[in-house]
Amino acid sequence: MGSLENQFTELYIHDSVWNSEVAKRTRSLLKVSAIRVDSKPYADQRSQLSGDEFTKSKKRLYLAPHLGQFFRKCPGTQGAACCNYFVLNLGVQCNMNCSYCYLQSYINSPLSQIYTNIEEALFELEGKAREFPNAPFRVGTGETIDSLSLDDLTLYSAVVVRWFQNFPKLTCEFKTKSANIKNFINLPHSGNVVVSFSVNPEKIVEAEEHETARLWQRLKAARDAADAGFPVAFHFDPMIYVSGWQKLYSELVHLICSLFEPLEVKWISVGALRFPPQMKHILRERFGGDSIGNSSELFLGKDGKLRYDLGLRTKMFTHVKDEFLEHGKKFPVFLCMETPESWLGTFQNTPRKVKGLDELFVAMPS
Amino acid sequence: MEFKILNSSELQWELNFHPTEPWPEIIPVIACKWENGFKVIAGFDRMGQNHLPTIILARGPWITFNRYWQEIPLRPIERIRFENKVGIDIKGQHILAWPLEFQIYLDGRQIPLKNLHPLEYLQPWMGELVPVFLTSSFTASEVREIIELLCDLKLTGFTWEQVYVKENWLGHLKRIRFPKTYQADLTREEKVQEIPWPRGIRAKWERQGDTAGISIQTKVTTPLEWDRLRDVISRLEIKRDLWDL
Ligand code: SF4
Repeated sequence: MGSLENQFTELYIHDSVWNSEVAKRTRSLLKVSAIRVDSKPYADQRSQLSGDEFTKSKKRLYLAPHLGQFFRKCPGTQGAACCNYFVLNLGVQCNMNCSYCYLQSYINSPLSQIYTNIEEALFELEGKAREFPNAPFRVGTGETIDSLSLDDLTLYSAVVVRWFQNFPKLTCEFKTKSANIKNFINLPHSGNVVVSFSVNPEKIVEAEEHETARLWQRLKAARDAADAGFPVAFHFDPMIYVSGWQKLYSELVHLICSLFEPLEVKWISVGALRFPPQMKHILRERFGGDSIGNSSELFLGKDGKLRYDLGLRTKMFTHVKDEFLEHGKKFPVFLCMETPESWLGTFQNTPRKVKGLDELFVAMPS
Repeated sequence: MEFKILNSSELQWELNFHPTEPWPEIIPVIACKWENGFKVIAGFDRMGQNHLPTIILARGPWITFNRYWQEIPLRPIERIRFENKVGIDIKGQHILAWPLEFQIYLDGRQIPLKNLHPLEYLQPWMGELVPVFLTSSFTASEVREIIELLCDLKLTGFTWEQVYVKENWLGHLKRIRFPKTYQADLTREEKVQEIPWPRGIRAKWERQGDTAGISIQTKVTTPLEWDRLRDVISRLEIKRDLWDL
């Protein structure tokens, strides 16, 4: 990953939060000078972004309070088994650049945004927690923005860890492809903040996950987090079919098994490359015709996303699951955004009937 | 407003964006006075004709042209041509580089603009591609599929000679775009045909999007037939490796 100070070429800060802690810290850490604005810049650009505009949006940062709802049920995907996940979005857009990133089909704003009113987000969450005191909500902060890659600007990780100490029934997930855990790792915590890393074999990280932390950096950060008593999690997602994929993923499983004990790992989710067909255009423009998204053999699934053949997916998931079993360690492996057919193919059962995973798939209030 | 009979050469036709629908015969050409001449804003398909009944409006041509055609439901590429004339900054300009006939062909099949993005990359094949489409009877969904496949193939280095065949073109494109899946499906189909299906059953390996499997078709006309069929099928052995290839 490049250094944070040079990552943005434009910085806009809304007048109302110019003197907020986040704004002050961002101004002091970034080299670019901040522009004070009283409304969202580029507000007239609302249509779908071209590849070039999308790339530019990663370089422009806007700090402003969020005026909408923070806490939402994970949209999941049509027809997929739902793992009852909730998302708390603290910003939109990501400063890393994976070729397959689904944000390319989702974002239509020409700038990245960090929401400055985390207190209001947590207030909203507190309301839910009090309304449903027995619901063990799992809440992720890494859906529309990486949970930790911009944490040096916001220090939100520390705020979140402290807040979750008061709500031990809830679980929070920091989901990242960075290795930035330094802002919260030494804080006291209640063991309910899961530090999760999306992982892929290094060959794929290098080819497709641009500007992210290397695999070894992520695994080292995971080890450090586990040593500090934080539960960790791994997302084998998206698994990517390349020649020799079995060996590559076996090695990855082996690495994880040699570094972690099942008790330290809260969950391991597995999913395969998928994206909506309309994203292909932006992929072509940004990564060329031979990037993985364009050259893979993908077919339209029932949910309208392009996916590998169901048989191949099942084979890939089964491979990872079996590799973990082979190491004789019982890690909680589950499938992410997959159809009941994939579950049956991989686990010979539906998620609510797989021992150890049943609690993840229990229905929650939304 | 004035009414005149004019020859084509007395009118200015630069706003002609080639509307798809012909201008109704009973309505005269409509033009606006502009500098020393008359700029046509509607009735473009009469261009080249003489003795044209023409209504002349005493209004600015661009504003009148824009107001009038904004109200008319235009097809996707037709709208791009129109917006291009009024200078609206629009996406999809690359499509205007394609021959008009082809633009009309695509509009005629109601293909949404988002499906035409790949044409941007197919420009070098325009000379070969356009005649193939114009002389074919592909459905709208086949056209969309072909454009998409061609784009992937072009960007991964295929030449026109490698991608084009006269017979079953779509099948050929799928075969070279998805070689592994295609081969696996082919092998499975062969295996399905080796299974001793009872008489009256038509079975084949069939792909639908990201799933594929054996599709079985039969017709049962009597309860006795059903009993017999059920009996034979229950004894059929399909090896698991059919799915595990
Ligand atoms: S880290 Fe995640 S959000 Fe960021 S670019 Fe990669 S896939 Fe997208």
